Amino acid sequence: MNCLSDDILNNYIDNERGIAELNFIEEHLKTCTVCKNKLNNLQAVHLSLQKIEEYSPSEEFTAVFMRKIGKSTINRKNQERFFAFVLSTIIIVFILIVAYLIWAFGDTTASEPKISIDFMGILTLYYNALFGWVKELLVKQNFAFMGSVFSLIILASGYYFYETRKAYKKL
Amino acid sequence: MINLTDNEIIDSVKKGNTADFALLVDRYKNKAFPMLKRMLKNEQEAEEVLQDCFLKSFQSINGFRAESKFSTWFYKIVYNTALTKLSGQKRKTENEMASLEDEINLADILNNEVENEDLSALITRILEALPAKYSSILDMFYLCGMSCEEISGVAGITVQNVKVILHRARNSFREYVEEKNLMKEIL
Ligand SMILES: [Zn+2]
Repeated sequence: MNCLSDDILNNYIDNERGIAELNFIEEHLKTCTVCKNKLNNLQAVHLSLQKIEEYSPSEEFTAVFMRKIGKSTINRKNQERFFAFVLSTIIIVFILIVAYLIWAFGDTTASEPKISIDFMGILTLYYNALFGWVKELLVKQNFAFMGSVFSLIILASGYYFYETRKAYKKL
Repeated sequence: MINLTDNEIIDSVKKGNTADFALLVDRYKNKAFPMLKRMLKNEQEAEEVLQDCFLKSFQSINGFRAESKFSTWFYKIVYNTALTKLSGQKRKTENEMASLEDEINLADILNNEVENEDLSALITRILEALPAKYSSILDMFYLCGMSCEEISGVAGITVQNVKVILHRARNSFREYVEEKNLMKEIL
């Protein structure tokens, strides 16, 4: 009689044989000690493999990981907050510049004939009240100072973005 | 909390309960760690790579679809990250990974003999010494409890080849163990 192949024995262990084959296998195992022995040994290996044990990485593994993702989400929030800050600063400075231009423009065209003098007078008054301090800020020396502060902010934010990017990639 | 399914935990994480991700880490680390350690043959690296794998899965959790199983999705990340790590290490590993056709020669792998070793101890020692391609598939089948179909999806090989590897590994284990006469103790 033909002995059972390794593949048949393996499939037998994995419960992957057809019913027709099953009878043949079991009949053969009753009569052939060589195959019976092989199967027993294979089953012993299979059982030992099923008993492979889990084991954990270092004790603080989960804590270390959770701190890491905590940091990464905080970093992202900080980044967003800083971005909002820089953006609003830029917008404010832009508005101030536009306001200055309007104010300067308004000053020279105060006598525009098509607008009533009263109205222009009120407007100039408002400008003076609201943006008087801006006027002072924007005299020549101060203008240079504002410019350097502004570029410093942009430089700082650029550096900050670079750093957070780097830190984020490292994770 | 313990009884939540993987998908329930993921839903919670997606809703912003980041802390719940710790449940998934605790659920999978003890299986993924031995698997990685046997693939990389280095405990320190296994731990670093595992951190990396959890981070990858956390960052792409929004791309995870509820129809799939978290376990297979996660083990795929583990398997691929380990292979990437190995491919960056040395040429020798490439040869190890290359051929499915090679017989497993346990006598070559286990160069030192241990006296009075029982079968379980020997099996563990063999697993630790096996090339990553074999140890990972045995770990996925026996330790992680995955089906041949799931392993096929993770490792990117056919179901038939998964079975070939499983059978070949078991056969060579059996032959080696018979040679060493270890079976008498068990049977
Ligand atoms: Zn026989």
